[in-house]
Amino acid sequence: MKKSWLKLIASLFAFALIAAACGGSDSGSDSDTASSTDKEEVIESGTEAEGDVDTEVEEVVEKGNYGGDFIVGLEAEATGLRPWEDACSSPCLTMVVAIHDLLVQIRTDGTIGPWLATSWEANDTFTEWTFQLEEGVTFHNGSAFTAQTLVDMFELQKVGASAAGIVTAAGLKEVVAVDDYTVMYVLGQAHSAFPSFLVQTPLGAVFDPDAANADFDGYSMNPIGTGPFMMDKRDLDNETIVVRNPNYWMSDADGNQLPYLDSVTFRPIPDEGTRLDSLLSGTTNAMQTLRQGTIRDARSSKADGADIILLEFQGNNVGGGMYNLNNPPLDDVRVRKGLTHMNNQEAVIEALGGTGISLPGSQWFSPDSPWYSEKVAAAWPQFDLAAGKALIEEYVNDPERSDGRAVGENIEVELSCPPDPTLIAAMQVVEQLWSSSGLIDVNMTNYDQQTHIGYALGAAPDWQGSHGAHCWRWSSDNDPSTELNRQMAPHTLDVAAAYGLDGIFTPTNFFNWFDIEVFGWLVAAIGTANFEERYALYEMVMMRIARDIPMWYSGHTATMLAIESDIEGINGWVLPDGTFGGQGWAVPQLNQAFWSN
Amino acid sequence: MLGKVIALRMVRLIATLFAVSLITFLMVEQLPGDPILAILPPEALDDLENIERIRKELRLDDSVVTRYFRWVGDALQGDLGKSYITDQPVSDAIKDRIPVTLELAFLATFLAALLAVPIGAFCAYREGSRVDRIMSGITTTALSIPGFVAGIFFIWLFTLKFNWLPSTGWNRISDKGLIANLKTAILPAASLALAPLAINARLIRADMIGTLKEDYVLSARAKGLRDRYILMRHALRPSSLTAVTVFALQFGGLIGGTVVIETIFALPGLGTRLISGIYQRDVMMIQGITLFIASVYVIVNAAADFLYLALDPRIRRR
Repeated sequence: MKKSWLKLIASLFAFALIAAACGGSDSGSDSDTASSTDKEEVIESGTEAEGDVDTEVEEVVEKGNYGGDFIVGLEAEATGLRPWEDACSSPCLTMVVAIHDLLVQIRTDGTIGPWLATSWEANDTFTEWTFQLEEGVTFHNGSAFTAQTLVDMFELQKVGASAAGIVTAAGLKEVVAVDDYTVMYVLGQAHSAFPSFLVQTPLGAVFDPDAANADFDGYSMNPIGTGPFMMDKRDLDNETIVVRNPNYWMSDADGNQLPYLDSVTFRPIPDEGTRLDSLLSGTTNAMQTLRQGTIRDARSSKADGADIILLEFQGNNVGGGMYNLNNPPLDDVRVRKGLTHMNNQEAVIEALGGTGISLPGSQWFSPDSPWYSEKVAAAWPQFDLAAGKALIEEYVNDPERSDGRAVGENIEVELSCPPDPTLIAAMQVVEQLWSSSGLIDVNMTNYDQQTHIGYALGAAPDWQGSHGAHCWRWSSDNDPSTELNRQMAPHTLDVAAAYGLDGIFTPTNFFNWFDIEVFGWLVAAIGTANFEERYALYEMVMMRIARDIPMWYSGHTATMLAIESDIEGINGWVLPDGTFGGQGWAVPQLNQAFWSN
Repeated sequence: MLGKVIALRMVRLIATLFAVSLITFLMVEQLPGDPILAILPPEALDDLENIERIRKELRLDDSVVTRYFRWVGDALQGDLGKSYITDQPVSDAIKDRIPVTLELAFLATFLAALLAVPIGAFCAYREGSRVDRIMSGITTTALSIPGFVAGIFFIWLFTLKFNWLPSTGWNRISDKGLIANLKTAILPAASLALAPLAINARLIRADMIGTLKEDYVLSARAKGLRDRYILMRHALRPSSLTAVTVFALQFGGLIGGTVVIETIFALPGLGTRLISGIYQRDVMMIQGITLFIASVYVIVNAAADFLYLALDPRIRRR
């Protein structure tokens, strides 16, 4: 009996040791080696990362096969599937666009193409936008999609928790059904890039307003769209299953009705490592991530032989930190510029795990963006410790210094980031650089993501954040106006009144900085559709930002969809006009996806 | 006399639950920032009228005291409020998820008991032997391995290396049957079971060593009864009382202890919902689930107290 126990224990140990010895390292591979061997296999459909990856979006040459299920590992459960009501990030967007069609689609190059809206035009003053709609489209419950649908949707969007702000930002006043398949959006002010608001789900995702009105809260569990897939089962925090919409309006180039897949299962897997493991083990067929560390691990696994395709994308979204001008000494441009000069961008990106993955930022646009400016890149304060120290020293020795401290006394700066391990590592790099000057006392704080945002936003009625130097992200691949016009508006009603802009106020000007010239350029940029004119205006805005509120940038946000190698059509999907969409921000377009075997 | 003791314990239980509710509410209340921010995407924050409308709808403009008593009053009637983020009633969220968490806790307790009893009994029987020393080392190691580390190891071994079991997801018995359910439950339950297994194996061993030295055991041996029979019929029962009590208390702890394991294995239990609530700053969900978990723990402890009262007259007299 004694021997049999010993044998059992010895067998278990041997089993574990053999298993350990047989396996290759999943995460311990040298990242440089991994990235160099992966260069030709990683498909990057957005911005070129220092020219070391294939950036071409590839056309799907195989014919689509019908059938099959597809399981996607998401970062988290969707907060809700009511486009007009629920705040929607990548996991939610993935589900929402499988069920709901958008009116228009954004391509990876930032241009906007047709979807349910086949064409559109504006009046001369850009205050009325008329859209022609696809005919013969029905919702999952059989009701027809017409111009009146959009009119009825607007009633919910006007008061929707998520949509109302976008309605305000777009200046949208009214939606009018011109005829059954023509709709007019009437704005209170000129906006030459208005369709870019319809790319966003709160305003652009088409839902059945009758179903929403019938069961406002319950809509999230049983959403009704016109999209390629219909809700089958919603088991929160476990799996959401959508099945093929047999009456979907889109067909492929050969006239075969889409979608090809029978069903799609969305599984929220919050742990990054487990999500990747689930893909590698075949528990799921695809995964999304916004983490550079996970991208690195996926590259490593691929280098070790995993049969997966990595669809990497980095667009305009850029990380780093900003300064709150309400908080001395950050109200002094010498301090802001000095601190940014002392940011070793390369070291910060390395601490974030983004070396070879994330492209260094110098403005809100990535080098592949049509809005990118070399002039701005040259003007942005690059890493120069001595120059930074000199500027801080000048402030410290200024008898008129704004922080009320004695001449020669160190400045104090609060540096705050959410408590993500990589962000903390990056924060420590910045802290060490700033502290090394001997002129700056850095007070590091970490709050959870929501508190971090709230700290910068402040509270009603003033909405003045009390943050100092604050980790942040800016920009998107959408039109620059959608972000810049909002964030550069007056930060208090008093400031607005001082410039004769009564009532124009935003709580999301986190810098608490207002420049009337910048505001004027931004207004001018939505008053013209001429690209050259708009480019020049946005370049001037970025130049002013680089001069007056130079954020310390790290890199552009790398996102990734990792998929099994025999699924096609996710990267090479096309719009109804035959143009390529391409795989953008970690949200798969599944209406043309199919299994190749 | 017994009635008075029970009444006193009940008063203490109610006071504890009241304190739990107050502390939970105040802790969430103390989080800096505005809960409205969690509901709205940044681009929606420019519409101040909308923000104020939502604040009024959610009655967030009431005082802290008013909101607390309204929440407690509703909770006493079984209404834990609605999620600010999803509009789902919190009690529905708990009802949907508690079966998963309970099953995990039961399965982990069952696995721990299944292995702890024979290991503890055998080690006591072979006290001081090489096997006893090895098992002692193993249980100490198991006790020092956090459940999430074991979970990650199990995923690596049983999913990535052997592909025997899925790493994530949950098959509901009602949808896919018991076998499919166990395939998704066994790894997380095993990760959770590790610490209780080790603790209970050591407790049973220690208790049984004492029992095996009792006269009636020696007498049974003298009668020539087989070792296995003596262990199971004469020694195990009296040696299990402490372990049974500890198992009961551990079960209460496991309800809250599944948080990390559920997150790693992406299981739709209470823990996952709580973590999502924290990330989303879903105030009502955090308050409701925390209160529920704390209440379960307090009630299980109270039940153990009552059990003691029933079993041990000395406690009644204190």
